Amino acid sequence: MQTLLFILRQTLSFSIPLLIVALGGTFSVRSGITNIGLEGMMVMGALTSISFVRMTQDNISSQNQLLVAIIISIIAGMLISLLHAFASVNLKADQIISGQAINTFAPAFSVFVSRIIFGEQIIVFNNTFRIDEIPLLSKIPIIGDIFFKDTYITTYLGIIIYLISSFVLFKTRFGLRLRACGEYPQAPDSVGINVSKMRYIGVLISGALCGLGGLVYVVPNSTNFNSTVFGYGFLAMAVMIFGQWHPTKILFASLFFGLLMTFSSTYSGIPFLVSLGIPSNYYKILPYAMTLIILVFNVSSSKEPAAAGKPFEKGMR
Amino acid sequence: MKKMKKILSILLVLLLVFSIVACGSKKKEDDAKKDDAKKDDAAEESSEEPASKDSEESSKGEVVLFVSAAGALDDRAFNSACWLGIQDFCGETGKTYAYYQPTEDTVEAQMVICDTAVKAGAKFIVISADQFKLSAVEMQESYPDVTFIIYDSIPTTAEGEEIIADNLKSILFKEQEVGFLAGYAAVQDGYTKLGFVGGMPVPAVVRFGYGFAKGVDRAAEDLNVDGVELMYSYFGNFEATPDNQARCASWYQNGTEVIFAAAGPAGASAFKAAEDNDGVVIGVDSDQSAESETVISSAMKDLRNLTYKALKEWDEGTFKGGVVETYGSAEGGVALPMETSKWKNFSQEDYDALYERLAKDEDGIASSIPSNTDYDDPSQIPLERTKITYVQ
Repeated sequence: MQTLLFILRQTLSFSIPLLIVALGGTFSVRSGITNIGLEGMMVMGALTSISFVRMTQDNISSQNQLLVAIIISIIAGMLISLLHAFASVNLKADQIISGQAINTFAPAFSVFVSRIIFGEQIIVFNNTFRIDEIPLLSKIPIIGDIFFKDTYITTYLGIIIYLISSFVLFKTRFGLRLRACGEYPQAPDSVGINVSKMRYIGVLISGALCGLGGLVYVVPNSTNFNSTVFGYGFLAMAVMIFGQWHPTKILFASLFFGLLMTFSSTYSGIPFLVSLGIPSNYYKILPYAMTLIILVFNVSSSKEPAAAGKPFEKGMR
Repeated sequence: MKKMKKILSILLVLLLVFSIVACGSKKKEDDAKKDDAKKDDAAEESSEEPASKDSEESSKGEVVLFVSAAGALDDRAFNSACWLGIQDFCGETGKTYAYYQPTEDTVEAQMVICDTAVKAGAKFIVISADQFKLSAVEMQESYPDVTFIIYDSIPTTAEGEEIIADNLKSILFKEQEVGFLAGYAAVQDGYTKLGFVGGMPVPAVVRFGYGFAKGVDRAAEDLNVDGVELMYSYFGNFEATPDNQARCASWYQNGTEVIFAAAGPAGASAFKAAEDNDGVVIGVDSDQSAESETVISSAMKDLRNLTYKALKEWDEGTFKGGVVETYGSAEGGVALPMETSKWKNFSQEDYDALYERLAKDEDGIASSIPSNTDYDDPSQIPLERTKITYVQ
């Protein structure tokens, strides 16, 4: 039972950043802007918020500190995504290039900034954000153990963001317009909706969620930040494509990946998996092999928004 | 659809690059990193050395540290200690200093940074890792006027021939002895479920691990402790990734009480896992007690002091190259920092007695500890009372 709980919690800690970032990517692609800069935006969010945590760690109580850090990471993500939005919407540049530019720029910038501010490249911080137990709720059998013990605020944030995203995208007027801009921008344009504005909003939401994702990624996993998120942004893109740009499918996709990654890194501490006697390399390959296989099978039935990646010219047919 | 394929192919390539090749993810940034490092080292020099304005022509640093592509300068462990030693010396003498990191651990890339460093005025180069083993052969011959020290390694040609020129000194440590100390202390302190994680299986890390296993087993034998179990693994990188954190967490979850993390910056993964699961960690290279509440002790090498000493000798003209120096307990080159350690039962007297036994090699205790070349993998170490599980 204890082992099972551990696997579930660990799965959540792998899945939540993937979920948040993949949802971020979804908003951008749904508005018609391909965003492969997820990785770079995560780094920026993590850099700014972890720097804040490091600077204030003796002055503010930890949960308040985390809340402020969350806001900072969101703002940082939005700022860097403005570059992408400007290049893609105003300059009508190739969106792959500006996204990749962000991916290349962010880690280098992060090293530069952290060496200037802290004199070292690796930012070490006091990680005191874990909540041991939430009173009352943790008493609920099973669910209490999974969700309300040894947890982080960020876990709930992920779930809340999922709920809001599915609502906004599919149940609001804004969501409909956003999706229209990604499918066939001429249509919303013809009824007087400002396509550029909608796309800006899409990219900004994407940047906000990616920045947040960067913070959410670091907090449960380390006591330092070394200017990289180890390719999680790219993994989140895979999750997004696997999830067909649909929040619910993305939720399941990220849980699936999270579970595989949990197996691949924790099999040695799980007696059942050790007793199976499968060579350890198979566990390690699992998440990556599955990524490849699923993407290959998924591409043929892809439901990518039709106008994604194409700059919109007013009056274009 | 076409766009889709383009994105997909880029995505897959990036996934491969970033994920499967664990250390590959560092390469691309390292270009940028190196540039940044140079830039702000130049800045550091000008701000920290106002006294030696005239030495600014030789701008980039007379004393230089080479960090391997797999490592990091601020690892709060090995490289940090060397860097502090350099800073101690340069603070006293007003010499300039800098560090360089190659884009990848190949002879070509390493020679590039060596050329750059020497052209920028390097006179003394501290090489901090075994990854420079092959290129060090070329470096010492190409630049006979530059003095080198290399840690944890002896320059070796691709054919396996060891060559040490007169301008280079190899400094090795008996990591197995301090690993032994840590393992022995942990068992004497009452821990019976232990773990070892290394970064990559480079010789120094392997010696830490083998020594730890032997120390655990020896203590179990001496003190008649039953049911001692040891988990043993290498991360395959020196980075604090979620995978590494999850691996340590799963061990703690499965009953492991203490993990000895000989993994540089990846130690942070073990610290975090320990914080979340009420475990404890033994740190490595430097005294890491300040890094986390969970660090109960550290397997230290005397890097800061030895770096300083070598520089001092060089400055005074008494530096002698062409030799291999090995520092173990007999030379006082390894230690556990007992003042900052949080042992419950293992006292200073216990430590002193054990250290003495090691230093004097009583009953062959020190020579019984295996070195990295003795076994191919840790499961082959003959252990009397310890069940070792090697996770590949």
